[in-house]
Amino acid sequence: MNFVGLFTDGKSATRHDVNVSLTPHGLMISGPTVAPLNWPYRALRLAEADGRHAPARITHDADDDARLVIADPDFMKVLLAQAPDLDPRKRRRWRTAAIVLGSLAAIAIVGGTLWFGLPLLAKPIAAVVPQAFQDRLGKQVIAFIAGNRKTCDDAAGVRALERLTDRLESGLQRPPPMTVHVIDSPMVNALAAPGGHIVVFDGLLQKAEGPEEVAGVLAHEMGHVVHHHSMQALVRHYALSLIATVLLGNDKMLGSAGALLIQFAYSRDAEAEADATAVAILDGAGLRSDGLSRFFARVEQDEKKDGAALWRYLRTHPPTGERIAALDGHAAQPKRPAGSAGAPVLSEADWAALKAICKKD
Amino acid sequence: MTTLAARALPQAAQGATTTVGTAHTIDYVGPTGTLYLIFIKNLLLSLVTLGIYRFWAKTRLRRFLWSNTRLNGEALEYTGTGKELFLGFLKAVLVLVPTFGALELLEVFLDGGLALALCIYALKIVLILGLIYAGTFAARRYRMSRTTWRGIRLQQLGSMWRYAGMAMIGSALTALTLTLYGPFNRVRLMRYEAENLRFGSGVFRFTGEGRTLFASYANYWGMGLVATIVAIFATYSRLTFETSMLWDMELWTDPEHSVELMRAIMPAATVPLALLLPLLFMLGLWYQARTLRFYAENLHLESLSFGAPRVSGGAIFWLLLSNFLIKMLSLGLLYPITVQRTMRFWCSRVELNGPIDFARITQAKRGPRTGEGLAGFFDIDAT
Repeated sequence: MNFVGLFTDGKSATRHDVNVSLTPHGLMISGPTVAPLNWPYRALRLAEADGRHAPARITHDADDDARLVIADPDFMKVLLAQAPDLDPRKRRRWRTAAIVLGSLAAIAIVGGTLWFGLPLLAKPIAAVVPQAFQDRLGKQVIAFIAGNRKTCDDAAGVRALERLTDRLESGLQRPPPMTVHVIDSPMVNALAAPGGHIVVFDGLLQKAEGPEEVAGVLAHEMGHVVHHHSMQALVRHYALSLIATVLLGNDKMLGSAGALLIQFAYSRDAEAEADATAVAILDGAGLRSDGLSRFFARVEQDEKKDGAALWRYLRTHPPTGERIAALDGHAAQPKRPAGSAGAPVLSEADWAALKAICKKD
Repeated sequence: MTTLAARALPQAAQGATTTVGTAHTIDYVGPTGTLYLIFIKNLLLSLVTLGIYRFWAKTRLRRFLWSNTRLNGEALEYTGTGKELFLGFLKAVLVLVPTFGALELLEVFLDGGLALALCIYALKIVLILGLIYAGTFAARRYRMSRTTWRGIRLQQLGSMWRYAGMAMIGSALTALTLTLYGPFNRVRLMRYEAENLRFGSGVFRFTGEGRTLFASYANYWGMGLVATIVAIFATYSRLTFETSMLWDMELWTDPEHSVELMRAIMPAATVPLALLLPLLFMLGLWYQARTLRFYAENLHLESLSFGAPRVSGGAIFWLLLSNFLIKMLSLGLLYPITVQRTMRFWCSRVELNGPIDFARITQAKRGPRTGEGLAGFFDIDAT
């Protein structure tokens, strides 16, 4: 079979008119201005993705700048009969399948590594971040949370808070540096930032019925501090957004949604861990450990009663039945030293002062 | 030998064809159906792979667009691969993420007050801008190196960092001179790009001068200035409060009062702004068209000259407006049609004239192994 074609040798832009014949082994290319060429079928490549309708553009593995262009639509049929492996549709299908499978495998590997590896990695990394650095981060987080709200500093209230904090810290063998800030906000919530910075919103103090409940919440946040939970969350967040950027490019929406999901999955474990430590702290300090579960129970009831009022605390501290059961179970069989049961957490006067910490003079 | 084939190959003279006549044709012949299939397949595969397929999708689209663009009836060819884009992107991520991560940590660590924070912020802006310009140039280098005609590559020489430096100094000067330096900046960058461009061994030249473009720009700038002044006076005359308050600097420096003042001015400014902004947009579009014509008519490849006399502000305006309406009214379903229209627009409006001896043009060196990482990272879209 003979066809006419145009040949460029990849060395100059001169175009040569050539005759192309199909032999059993390959294409014979010859013309008045080119030295005869023999391109074996197995080394041929289609340079054109849409080769079926457009002119066929053929190149050769050993000389991939050279091009042979044949406009006759019959040529592809004849060529594919000789070299069926060249079929662009077949090749493309395989290649596409390989890309899709490769992508899915990469996603599975990266996803699996994240799911199982990230907590394992985040823990040691968070534990070795220098305290000075954590402290700075924590201060920035607190400044951000506080916004233009006031940090409460009524002298008597601060003293009462210090007494409570010291008492709780005595329940730890080696307490890490911790600072408790009260922010003048009606939110019923508390949180632990890196560097041992604990934030309690005034709304929580007002909601609490007695110092035991505040002690329970504070011990819980101290549990977060002891385990570097917030630093771990930051490490995870950075790692996740990095990987999301790599995988998804600039598709920030998908990336942050995924990051949020994974964070939520971790936060349940962290809450349980903080609970356990809180109980240990309260026991160690010789205090009643049912304050936290009482507070939970009340918050849950109130939520049922008036909907969204307190959802903030519940959202960040999911009160699963298991958690309350675990806390209650412990309170029923206290391991605290004998004789210390029910010791008042704060005096009446101190409790009143703490409640009034945000009051203006 | 079939007659069909002989007819399909234009200017198939006897033997080797080296010199083509002085009138050259540029056509876009892409079939819409095929483009639709490509779009649908690209979209589905990108979704399935959570976006990883986008590098191959971009490549697939470029292959289609390039191969359906014909110079004297002979197709351009895009020889890049999705793998190259993917690897280029990974490379950029590996360099950029630690860099910006370190800057972020530095910001937290050096808690040194406002001055330092501003310094780091400025450093970040300069770094990002520089990387965007450098990335744009690097992407161009990659794209050129993967564009061939008759098997001969284009080649973008020059340094991406030098280009980024020029672009940043130029942008700063443009801002400082109330954009009057803009045309000079544009021409400097155009010249750098063009004079470092090769088709094989064929050299591109650029003969435009900054002051020529400036002469046109001065007109648009002057019209814009007059319109702005008129709009300000119109607003001023429509103010309903004591205008002496406008000159009270104490009111402006106080955040609460300045917001109140702005609120009081807004009703008077609505109509003048509604007239001014579209006018400035149109002036910008006309200048843009002028710039493109200027670029084309001053660009030469050996003895070939480019031109785009039919690229006018009005034509670009109608193309943008009609494409926008097509996209909006079809909820994006007709997006491929707008791609077709854009390709046809440019291919039918760019001209190429003059004799050229293709036998004297020899192959250029191979380009970079991977491509467009930086541009991909910053989402600079260059289809």
